[in-house]
Amino acid sequence: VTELDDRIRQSLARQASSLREQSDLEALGDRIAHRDGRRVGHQVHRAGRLGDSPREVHVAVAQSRQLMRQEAHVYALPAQVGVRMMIRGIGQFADPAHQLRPRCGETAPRTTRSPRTRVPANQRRRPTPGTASR
Amino acid sequence: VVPLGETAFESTPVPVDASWPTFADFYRATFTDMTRLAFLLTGSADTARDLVQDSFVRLHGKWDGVAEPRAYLRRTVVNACHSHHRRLRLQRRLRHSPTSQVDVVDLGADEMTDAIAALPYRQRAAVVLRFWHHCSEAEIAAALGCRPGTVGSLIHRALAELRKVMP
Repeated sequence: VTELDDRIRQSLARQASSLREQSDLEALGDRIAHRDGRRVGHQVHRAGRLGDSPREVHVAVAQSRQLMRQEAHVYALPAQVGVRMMIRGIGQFADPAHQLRPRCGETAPRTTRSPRTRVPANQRRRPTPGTASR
Repeated sequence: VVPLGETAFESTPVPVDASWPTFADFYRATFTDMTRLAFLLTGSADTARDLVQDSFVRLHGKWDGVAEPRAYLRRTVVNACHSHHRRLRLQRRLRHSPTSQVDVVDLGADEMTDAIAALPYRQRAAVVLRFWHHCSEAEIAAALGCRPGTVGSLIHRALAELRKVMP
């Protein structure tokens, strides 16, 4: 054993002994549960409160959807309302969909106009006597 | 020179033929040792803890099929530390900044520690496994994924570098 070997051993041993690390079986269980897709709400909160490593916090955020799915609440439901109809004035509705320009490969939405009704001459309303102008 | 066999600094002695009845027993017996190994290879306590926990998670998935869990875990940790160094190199290259060289040894280090930390990763891993983990050349080769002859070459080149810091 040379002096160089001893110095290397001492240096590595001094560096390694400076690390006081305790096994954390619970944290390992959390990671294994996350790998298997099993993670529950209290673990999500605990990971953030303990100031875990950044990867853990990221995991906690990523699991929020599952948490919401398990504890479905009316306020947590995602919005399902498609806003297409707007009120532009009092009593006036407009659907802006037919105003959109068609993109490539699409057909323009067909707008149906009410056909102009022609009133036969014998059914036309006669002007009130005395009001007609000559 | 203090004989290191009498100090508490040696790596945790774990018998080679030890058998652990459960995964939890194996975890408790080897966690500190593996974390210190990762710490010597990365220089960061947080990174070492993270990588070792990930390695245990990988081992847990194959616990029933692994004949030598300690050797398997050692190789997993060494590979994880290697991947960590590769990510660091990539980050430094992308940032183009000399100040981005984080995660270097954050200890009250001496010249020898600095010299070991400055070695290329494979040389550093070979030195740590040889002089701290007391691994044979075959075990180091298995951990690094190379031939035993390559291990001798790695250690020889590493010692040539480390000899320069000797007074």
